[in-house]
Amino acid sequence: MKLEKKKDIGTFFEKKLSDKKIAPNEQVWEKINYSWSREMNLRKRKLFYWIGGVGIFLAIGILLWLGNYKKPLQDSTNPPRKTVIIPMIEPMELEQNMAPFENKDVDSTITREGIEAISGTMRTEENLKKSINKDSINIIKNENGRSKQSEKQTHKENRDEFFSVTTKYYYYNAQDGKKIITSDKTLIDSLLSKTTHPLDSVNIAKKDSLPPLKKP
Amino acid sequence: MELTEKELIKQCIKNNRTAQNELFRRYKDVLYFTSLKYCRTEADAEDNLHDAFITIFKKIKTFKYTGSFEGWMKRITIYKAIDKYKAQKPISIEINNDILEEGVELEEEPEISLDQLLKFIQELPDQYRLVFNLYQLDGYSHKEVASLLKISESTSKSNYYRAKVILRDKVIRINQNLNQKIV
Repeated sequence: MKLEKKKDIGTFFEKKLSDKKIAPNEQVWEKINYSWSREMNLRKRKLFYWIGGVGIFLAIGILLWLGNYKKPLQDSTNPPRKTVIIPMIEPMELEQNMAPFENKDVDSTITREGIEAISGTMRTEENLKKSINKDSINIIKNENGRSKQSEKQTHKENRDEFFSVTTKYYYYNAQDGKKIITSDKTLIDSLLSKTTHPLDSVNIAKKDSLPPLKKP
Repeated sequence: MELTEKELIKQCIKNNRTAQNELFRRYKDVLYFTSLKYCRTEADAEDNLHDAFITIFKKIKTFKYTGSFEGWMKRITIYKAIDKYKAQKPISIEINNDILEEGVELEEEPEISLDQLLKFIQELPDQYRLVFNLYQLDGYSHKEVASLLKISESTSKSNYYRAKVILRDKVIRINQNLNQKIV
């Protein structure tokens, strides 16, 4: 059949092929089903790996943070310990009419020199303590490069916990053999004030009267 | 009771296997025919249909109910075919010929089956086939075709013309053979 008008080939194909359907092979759906199941499993696995990775990352971050958090505390609470040797000043030698020292290391006499020695020891110890404090401050200053008063105090307090510089007072009474080792200075002072030397005469007593103990 | 299109889409978003099966059952014929137009063989068309549905299931939640759902699925099917062509496309140098604006016409309308017409389209060179289908059968402009296939507009027009010439020659030849048989 001939057309009056020629038809464009493109239009001819368009007309013939519009709104047409062809059924595919039935196996196509099985393939799609199988592929989609694999896709879903892969997604679940990816999600699991992602969550695991985030969890590990967080755990590492927390551990690092805790490590850094603890480190400065340790540095402040555990300052480097130093052994301070407090030289003990040996008591002065006794006069002849006085009771000899029984133990130089531990005991002292009730003699004037002995008391002075004790006082000197006390003074020396306290001076040493002060000098230690100063040195420690300087050391800390040098270490940290900071010089704030509050930090000094904090360092001093922290230092005092570990630099256990204690002042001990030794008392020995040759007459009754009483020995006291204490850190309570007032006790020693009270004992010393009670103890008096026997006087030969009033004049001698006046001359030989002990001067009051000088407070350090 | 059959689900409406909207309900079907919602169920597919929830990954309901029954709904996905129903979606396949409703639209497989249309999309397979589209694949046959764009692919060289039936096997390629089945692969293209498979890839298209996987993509549809993945991206169904992005459908915003603007326009036809069938048109949206058709576009996915077409783009899948184009992507496959681009992956296999050899490097070619475009030669700008003068575009022949004259129409390619048939003197008589032959009686040719659907399968035969599809076969003629499938036998076209890849780029010609894509251009002819996109422009003539699916309503894309030459500018849109050029953009999709990464070619110039003039190349698209040239390819379209050459495709029509080839198809016309084939149709005439088959028509002559049919007439000779009748005689």
